[in-house]
Amino acid sequence: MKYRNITFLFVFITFQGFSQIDEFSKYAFIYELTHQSDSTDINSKRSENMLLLIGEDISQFESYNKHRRDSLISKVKSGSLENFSMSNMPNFPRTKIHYKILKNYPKDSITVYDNIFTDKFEYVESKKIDWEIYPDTLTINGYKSQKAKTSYGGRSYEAWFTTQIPIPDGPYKFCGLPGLIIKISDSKNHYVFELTDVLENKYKMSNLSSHSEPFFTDKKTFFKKLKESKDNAINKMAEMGFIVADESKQNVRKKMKAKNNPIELVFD
Amino acid sequence: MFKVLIFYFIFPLYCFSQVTIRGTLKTQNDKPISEASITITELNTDNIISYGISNNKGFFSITVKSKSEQLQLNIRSMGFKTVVKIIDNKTQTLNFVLEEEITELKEVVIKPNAITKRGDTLNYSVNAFTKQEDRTIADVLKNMPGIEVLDDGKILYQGKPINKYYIEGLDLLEGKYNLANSNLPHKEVTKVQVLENHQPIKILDSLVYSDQAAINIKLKNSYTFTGQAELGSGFSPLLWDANITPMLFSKKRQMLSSYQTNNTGNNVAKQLKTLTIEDLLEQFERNDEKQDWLAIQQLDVPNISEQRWLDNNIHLITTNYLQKLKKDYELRINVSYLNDYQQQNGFTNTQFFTANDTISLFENKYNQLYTNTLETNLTLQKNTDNNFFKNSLIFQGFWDSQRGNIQLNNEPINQNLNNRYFKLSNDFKTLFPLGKQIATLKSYVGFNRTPQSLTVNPGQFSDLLNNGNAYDEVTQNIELNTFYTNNSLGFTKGWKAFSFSPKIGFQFENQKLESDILTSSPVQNSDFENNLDWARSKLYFHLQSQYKKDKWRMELSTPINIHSFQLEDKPLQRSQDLNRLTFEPRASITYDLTSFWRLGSSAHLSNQFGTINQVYYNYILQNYRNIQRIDAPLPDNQNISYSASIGYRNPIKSLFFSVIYSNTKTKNNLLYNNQILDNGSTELQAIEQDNDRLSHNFMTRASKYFSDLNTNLTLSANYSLQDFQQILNNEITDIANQNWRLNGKVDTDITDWLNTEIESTFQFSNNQIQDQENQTIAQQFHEFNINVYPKENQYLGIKTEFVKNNLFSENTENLFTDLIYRYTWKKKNIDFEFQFNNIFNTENYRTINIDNFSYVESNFRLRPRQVLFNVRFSL
Repeated sequence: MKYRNITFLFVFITFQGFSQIDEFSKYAFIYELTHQSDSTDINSKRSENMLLLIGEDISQFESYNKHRRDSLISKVKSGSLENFSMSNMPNFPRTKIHYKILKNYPKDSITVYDNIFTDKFEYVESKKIDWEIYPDTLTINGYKSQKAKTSYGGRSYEAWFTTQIPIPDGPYKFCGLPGLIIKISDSKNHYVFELTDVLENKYKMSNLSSHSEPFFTDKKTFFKKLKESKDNAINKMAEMGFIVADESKQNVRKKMKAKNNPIELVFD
Repeated sequence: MFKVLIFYFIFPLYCFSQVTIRGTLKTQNDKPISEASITITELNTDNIISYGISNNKGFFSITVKSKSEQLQLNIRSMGFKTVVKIIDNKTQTLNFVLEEEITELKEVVIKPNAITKRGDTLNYSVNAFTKQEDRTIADVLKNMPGIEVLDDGKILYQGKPINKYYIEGLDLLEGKYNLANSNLPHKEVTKVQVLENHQPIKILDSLVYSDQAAINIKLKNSYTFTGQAELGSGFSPLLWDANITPMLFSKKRQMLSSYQTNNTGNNVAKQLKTLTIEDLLEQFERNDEKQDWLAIQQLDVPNISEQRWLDNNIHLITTNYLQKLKKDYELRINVSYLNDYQQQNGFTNTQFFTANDTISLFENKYNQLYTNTLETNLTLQKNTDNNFFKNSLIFQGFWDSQRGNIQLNNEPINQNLNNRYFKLSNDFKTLFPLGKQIATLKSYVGFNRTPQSLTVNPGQFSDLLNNGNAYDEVTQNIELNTFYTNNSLGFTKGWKAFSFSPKIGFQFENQKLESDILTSSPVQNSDFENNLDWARSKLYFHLQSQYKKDKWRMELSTPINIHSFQLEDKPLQRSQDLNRLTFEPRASITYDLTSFWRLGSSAHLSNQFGTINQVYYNYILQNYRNIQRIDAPLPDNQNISYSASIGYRNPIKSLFFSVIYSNTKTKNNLLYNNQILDNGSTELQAIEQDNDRLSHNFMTRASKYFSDLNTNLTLSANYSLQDFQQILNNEITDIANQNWRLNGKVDTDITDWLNTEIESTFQFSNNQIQDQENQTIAQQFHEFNINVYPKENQYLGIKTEFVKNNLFSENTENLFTDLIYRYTWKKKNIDFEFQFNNIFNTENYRTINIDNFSYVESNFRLRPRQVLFNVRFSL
């Protein structure tokens, strides 16, 4: 009898990620992400606005433009926008950062949705991050913050959190401090997230971004495929109909090589 | 007792044991508070020494190690009043009930950015992004975050191509902006503005969302003059290649000119074509591009890269000028002149198969093609928030001619062709609000004139044209005058997952064809004249519907057309009328079965009617061995086509494949009679007889990436079958053409600096006439390329092509090898390029073409071995 119960439990555990999420945020924050896509070239720095939404039991972190695009699409589908239709879809906001990170609060899990070219993937990992708190304090962007440090994905991070916003969350997969992370950067300043705005409105939170279902996999396989796709970029583009001329192939390869600095360098 | 006292005092000082503070947080309604922040700080400080976060039962547990006797416990949670409590430094359990309170979040105060943003406009300061080795504004754009410049000059913002490139708010070149971008020095530019979500038609700005951005270059000075140049030279025989492109920009006017010339086989005429997708569809409907009625006998050009065989001598001049006028109007003038002299040398071996007999023809050909083209475009545009107006007046003139000399079975034949064409057209478009929607009104009017003539000597078709007597010369004259107009009004409306676009319009075309045949003999036969009046009109109502939801995507197009045709040749007293109401729907469905499989299907019903070159009652000499008249009803065909496709993609295994099948059945009302005479010429007549043409096409393709080998493999196979009827020498003949094509490609990155590509294609063609199968033709193409990148500023390429054909007279093999080396002097941004083409000096190329009833073997003389040296720099 006992054995049967255990088997039943295992079946439940292997079910994928989340069930459907569809709620409005309680709090919304904008972070500015400045990142250097080529570790050898300081001029490859780019910046983009990211959106952190705090809900009842989950939080959602993704590119601000991506969120705008997804909510425009769902509004059009439900018919609540008169002058738009799906034929306008190519005209909606876009971004190069495709991940959507959902941190689940009752459980210890983070569900990540991300893309490799046009394919969508989903993987689940643990939320646990070991933080070490330091006595340093600083006022950043108007908030009194205290320093904490951790290692994640092969990088050392320095974070500043504030108990003036007692939400144990932050940008990307960083969470678990007794206050919202105002700023976090890695030791080389290749990835810097900084809180720049607190938004008034309520935003829709959802784990459904489009009609196509993602490929469910694990973190290690996802990052392996990501690396492969960069090595194979030219042929991937040929798949989609773009033929690269021979002399230009080196440039494409160079570009792909220059994107050698993902936020997670090590992934187990 | 004293000992005990000391023990009491000392004990706490040396006791650093960990204490655990635990407890539960609840609301006033006894609900647990999760994710609350519980911190332990030293008394009266904010420094956190330990912390915990309550779980979903409101429970927390914190371990602290501190010397202090007392600690400060702080409990904070969004939506609740903060609790601060002084506690003893000892293990204990403390439960709290938190009072609700709205948590006000303070405004975030941030420092200003290097890139400033105002609304939807980003301003990039050029100084901040310029590197030492940059020269043009394109170089600096590459440094700007969010902006990418591709190799062909296309600019992307956030991954999407820009839809407009303005300089000081003006659009001089439309799609040809690379000419400006890669030649404008950055020191002339103060700011690059990115206009996000740019809707080029201002009146649509808040209605039709645009995700594309535009770029606007802000200049430092009110006057800028700059440009680029390229010079090249080579030999065997003397070769040249030059390109000079100066440009001028100021606040109210802009100019870009270019002069390009070469005789290296580089067909720069392609640069004059900048067609958007919208233009292509409209052009197809208009049917008023240059059409040649008469021709000299052509040589089949080889199906290898044009630069291997094109013997040209081309000059291209273009000037583009834009002027800003009052009241938001802009005037733009674009003028292009092309002059090209091409030579072709070779021979053609033709075999005609009929049910009984085989007729053979051998022609040695030398053709000279003269192109002389002028195109001008005058556009007036106003683009404001309340109004969009664009009117383009276009003139095209082709003063072309061709000369052909043939040795036919050792007899000389000379052909002189004058294939001129002139067109004047006006294209008008305006958008304005109509209730809640924005309506689009379009009107196109065009006049064109095709005056062409062909002179052949000695005279041909003596039986038909000269009562059986040989004569010196025959001349065919044609003059076709056309008037065409197309006007429409439409709008788009969305409703939930649907979108509807209705459109109503009418087309009208009036043509007059005048032709006559003159022979050099004194007795004139006026029996070879056409005076055909043609009027065609179409009233149309078109509704396009789209549905996109979840895994489904459906499109339905339902056009209703009322066609009317009237033809009349008064002198010959022949005429025809046709009036028809047609419904030509098209439906397509795509369904994503799973994330791996996608299915698609489409069906289309359409009607096709003939054009003026498919009905004329009297003979026209099309080329020296083809004289034809089409005394038949207007072609009236109906097409029914279906297609189905399956796609599979597994990105985890890097495996992709697709299968597509399509089938078209055409119901024709006419059957053509090809009469082949003893001297090899053909006479075409059309008979009213219903017949079907059936074509099947099957295509499959698979590709896989092997990451361990850094290799990509692609395989594809293609089969097509066409089944139809034709009349050959007065007999109805069943004809079937089959074609197989197999292709494989392997692309490998051997190291970082070495890449190879191998591609092979096998093609088989077969022809079956009335159950008699003819010989299968086999062709093989093999390509092997090596790309070497010894250093960042150097490139070396070796390209080899091998072609093998099994022809009916003999097997042929051709080998081509080219070498290219490029060196970039980065400091001055000058490119040096060396090309060594056709190393093995392959002189001729043989091709095969299968016609409905013939095999044609063509031999073409190629460009010989040549060496070319090129230098590229900025003005």
